[in-house]
Amino acid sequence: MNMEILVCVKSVPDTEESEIEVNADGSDIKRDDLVYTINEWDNYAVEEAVELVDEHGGSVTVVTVGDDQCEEVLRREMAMGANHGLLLMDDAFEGSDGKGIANILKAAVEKESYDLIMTGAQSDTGAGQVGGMLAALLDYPYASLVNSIEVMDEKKLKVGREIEGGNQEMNEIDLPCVLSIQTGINEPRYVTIRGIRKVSSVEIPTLGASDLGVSGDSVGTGAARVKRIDYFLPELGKGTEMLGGDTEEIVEKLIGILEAKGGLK
Amino acid sequence: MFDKSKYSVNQKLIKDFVKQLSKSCDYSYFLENMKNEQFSTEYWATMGEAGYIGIITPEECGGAGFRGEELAVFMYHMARSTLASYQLMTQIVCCELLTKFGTEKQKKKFLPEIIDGKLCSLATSDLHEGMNLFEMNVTAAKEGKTYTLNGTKSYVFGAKESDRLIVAARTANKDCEKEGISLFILIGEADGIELTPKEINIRTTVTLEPEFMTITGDRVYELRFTNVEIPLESRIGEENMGGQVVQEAADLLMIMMATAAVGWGDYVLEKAVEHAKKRVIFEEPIGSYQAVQHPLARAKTELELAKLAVGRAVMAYQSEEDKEDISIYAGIAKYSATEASYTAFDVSMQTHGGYSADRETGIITLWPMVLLSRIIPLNNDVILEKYAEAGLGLAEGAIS
Amino acid sequence: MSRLFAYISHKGGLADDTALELIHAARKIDAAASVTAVITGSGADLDTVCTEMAASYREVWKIDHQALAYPNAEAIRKALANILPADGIVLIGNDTLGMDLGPGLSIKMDSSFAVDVVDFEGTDGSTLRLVRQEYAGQVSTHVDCDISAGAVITVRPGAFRPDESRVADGRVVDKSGDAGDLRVGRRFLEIVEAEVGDIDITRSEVLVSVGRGIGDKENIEIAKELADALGADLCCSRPIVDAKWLEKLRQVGSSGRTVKPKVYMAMGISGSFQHLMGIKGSPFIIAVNKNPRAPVFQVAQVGVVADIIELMPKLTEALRRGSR
Repeated sequence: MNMEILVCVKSVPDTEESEIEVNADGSDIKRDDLVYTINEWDNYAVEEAVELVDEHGGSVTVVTVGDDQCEEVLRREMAMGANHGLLLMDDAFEGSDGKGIANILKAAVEKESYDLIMTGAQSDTGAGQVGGMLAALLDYPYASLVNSIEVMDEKKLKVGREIEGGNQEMNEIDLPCVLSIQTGINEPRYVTIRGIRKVSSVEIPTLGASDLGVSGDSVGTGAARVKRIDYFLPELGKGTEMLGGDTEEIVEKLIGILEAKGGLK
Repeated sequence: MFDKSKYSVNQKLIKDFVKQLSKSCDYSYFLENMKNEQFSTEYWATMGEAGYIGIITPEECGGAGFRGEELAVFMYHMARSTLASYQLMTQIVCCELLTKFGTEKQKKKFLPEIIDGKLCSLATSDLHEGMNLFEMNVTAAKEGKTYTLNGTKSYVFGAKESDRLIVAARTANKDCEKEGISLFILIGEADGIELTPKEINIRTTVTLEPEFMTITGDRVYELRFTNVEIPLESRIGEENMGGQVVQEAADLLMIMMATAAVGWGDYVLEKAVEHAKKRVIFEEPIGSYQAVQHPLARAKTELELAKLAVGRAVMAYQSEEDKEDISIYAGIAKYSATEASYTAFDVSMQTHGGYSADRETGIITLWPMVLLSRIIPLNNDVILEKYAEAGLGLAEGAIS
Repeated sequence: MSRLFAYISHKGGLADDTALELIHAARKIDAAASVTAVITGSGADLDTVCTEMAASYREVWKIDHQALAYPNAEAIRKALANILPADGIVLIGNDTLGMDLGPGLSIKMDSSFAVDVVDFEGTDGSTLRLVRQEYAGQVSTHVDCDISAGAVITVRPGAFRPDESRVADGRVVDKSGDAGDLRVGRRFLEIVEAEVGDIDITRSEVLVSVGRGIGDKENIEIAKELADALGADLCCSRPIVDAKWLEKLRQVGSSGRTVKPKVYMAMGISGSFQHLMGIKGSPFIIAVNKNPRAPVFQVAQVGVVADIIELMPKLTEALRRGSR
C-alpha cells in the first residue's frame, strides 16, 4: 500500500537526567548543564510510524525545527528505524510561536507528498498545539491524543482517541491527515547498534527559510503573537503544611493526621 | 569515555540504549530471576536483537564495526546500571577471536549467530594451578581427521546455557610454554563433555540459600573433557598459533572488566553518597561526619585514577599499539580498576551499615562479581608479577 | 476589548465543570465584559444545557446541527469559525475536546492561541498577560498574548473557581442557521468504554497512589503493604500504567479514573494536571516526594520531602505496631 509518513519531532531537556531550574533573572531556565533527548511523545509517534511502514510499506521521515544540536534526535530516531531525516534551521526561525513552527513545517510538507503526518500529543511546554495548527493550515483532518491506528484502505484510517474516564473515542479519518500521538500507544523499540552504525555516516539535509519558501512575516519573533516573558517558580499551595523532622517524627505526625482525617480503618 | 558531556552522537545513542534496557531489565528483574534461578531470557533476547554483542565486530562480518571507545562507553554504562555480565564480556571476546583468527567459513557460520544472541562460552585458561595463562592440561591430540580433547577447564562461564564453546587446548609441547596452543570451537554437547556446575556461594547472614553467582545470572562451570572427538574444521586459525591468541583474548577481557569495574564502583559509591545524605542518626545526616566523608572521597579518587588507566588501555587497544604494550596497559587497568572497585564496595557497604545486607539495597548482590574481578582472568598479584618482569625488567620468578 | 465567548462542553444534558469556571476566567480578562456562552450539539440535551447556562450567562448562542450531535471537534471548529466574530476571544476548557479543537480553531479564525492557561494578569492595550506552566508544572511562565485580532484560549480545568451565582437571567439565541456546511474529514464511530474489572477505585475512601517515584516494579509491593495497613486501595498515575506495572483500572487522571476519596496519599507523584484532574471532591491530600518543587505540593494539604521507598515501610510498620 505504501505510506509516506512524516513525523515532527522535538529535542527537549531530559528531565530524568537534569533538573529544571529558573535562572537568576527569570529570563529562561538554566540550560548550561542540560542534557537533551527526544520528546517522549514524539518517540512513540516514530515507533508507530515505523510499525505502520513495516506492515504496509513506504517510508518514515523525521523532521525537526531547531539548531545543529537537534540533529542528534533525528539520528536517534533514524537509528530506531526512520528512513530519512530533515533539519529545518534558520536564524529567521528564532522566537517563533506555535503558529510560526506550524508554518515552517507546512512549507516542508508541501515540498513532498505525505500520506500521514504525526506529532507527539505534547512536549515540554505542555502546549500540544503544533499538530492541530499544522492540520488547519494544510486543511487536513486532525485527531489528537491518538492511542490506536488501523489502516482501513489507502484513503482512510480508523483511529482511537483517548478521552476522559479511560474511554476511547473511535473515529474514521480521511488521508492525508495529521495525528497527535499519546504515550502508551505502543512499546518503542530499542536503538540497535547496527542502526547507530548505519546512521552515523548519513548526511542529514538542512533546509532554511529560502529553501522552504517561507516568508519572514510568518515566522520568527516578529510574527509571533504569543511570547513568553519570563519563567518563575510557582508558589507552594498556601494551605500546604510541610512536615519536618527526622523520619520517626514525620511518621508519628502522619499517623496523627491520618487518624484525624479519617484515613485509618 | 566516562564524561558523558563529551560523548559523540554515537556514544550518546549507545548510552541511550543502555538506559532504555535498564528500564525493562531493571534491578528487580534480575533479583527475581536470581531468586527463582531463572535464565534472563529477555536480557539476552534484547542483546541479540539490538546487536550489541557485535559492537566491535567489523561490519563485513555482521557486526557494527565500532571500536574500543564505543565498547568502553557501552560496558561502563552497562555496569553502572548493573547490567554487565561476565557472559556478555566473553561473548564479545569470542567474536573477536573468530574475527581475528577464524576461517571465512567459520566467521560466516558462527559470528552472525553469536551476535544474534546464541550463547558461546569461552574456555581458555585453566586456573587450577599457578594462574599462568598458558598452563593447560587440556590436550588436543590429532588423529587423522579429528582432534581428541582430554582434560579439565575450570571457571567456564555459562557452559550449560551455551551451545557453542571456544576451547584453547595444547596441541604441542608440554608444561607452561607459550607455544603449542590451538583454539577450537565446539557445537552443542559433544560426546564426552561432562559439566559440573560450580556455584560459588557467598553466604550472607540474611540469605540461607546459595546465590546465583552473579546478579546478572552468570554461573560458572567446570568442564571435563574425556576423549572428546572433534573434526579438524573445528580448529580456529593455525595449529600451534601459540599463547599469543590466549593473551589477546585475556587482554580484551581485562579491558572490559576494568571498564565494568569502574562502572560498578561508580554505581555503589553513588548509592552510598545518596544514603549518607539522607540517613540521620544523631541529628545530622551521617554524610556530614568526616569519618564517613573521607573513605567515600578516597574511594572515589581511586576510581577516578583507575579511569585514567582504563582510558589509556582502551586507546592502546583501539589504536592497535604494540601488543606487548596493550598487555601491560590492560593489566594495569584491570589491576587498578578492580582494586578501586573493591575498595568502593567495601566503603559503600560500611556507609550503608545494616542496610547493606539487604538484597533490595542492590549492593550485596554484586559482591561476587566484584570479588571475582580481582581474580579472573588473571589474579591481580599475577599482574603485578608480570609487570615486574615485563615492565620493570626484574628477574623472572622472584621469590615471594 | 473584543467580545468574549465561553465554549461550553456538555454530556447527557449536563454541562461540564468548566462551564461555570470560564465565567471567572473571563472576568479576570475583563471584569466589565459580559461573556457569551457558545454551545454546540443537537436536540433535547442541547436545549437543556442552553437553558441551564442561561441562568449563568447573559447570552447563550445555541448551535444545533445533526453533525454536532456527538462533539466532533472537526465539525465544531467549522461551525465556530463560521459563526464567531473573527476578533472574538474564545475561552475553552482544556479537556480532550479543547485540545482537539483549540489549535486548529485559532488558525481558522486567524487568532492568537494560548493553551492550558492557569491565570490572567490583565490587559495592556491589545496585549493580554497570562500565566501558564511548563515542564509538567515545575515552572510557571508569564506569556504576553496579542489579542488585537482575537484569541483562542484554553483554560486549565479547576484553575478558576466556578461562578455558581446563577443570576444572569440570560437569553438563548439560536445561531444554528449560520453553521454552514459541516461535512468534515473525520467521522465519529463509537465510544469504547473503559474496562470494568473487579477493582473500582472510584468508590474508595482512602487511596495510596504511586507515581514515578516508586522507581521499580518491585517497590510497588511496599506501597501495597502501606495500603493494606491503612485498609486503603492502591492506585497510581499514568507512567505506572504505561510501564505496565499496574492495571489501567488503577490509573487516576483525566485519561483514567476519577476518584473522590476522603484521604489521598500521593506517593512519589509529581502532580501533573492530568493526574490531578482525576481527583475530585477536595479530599485531604498528603503528598510525599523527593523533589521539593514537585507541583503536587501546590495542591496538597500536607507535604513531606522524602524518599517514599524509605518512608513508606516505616509508616507501615508504625501503623502495624500502633494497631493493637
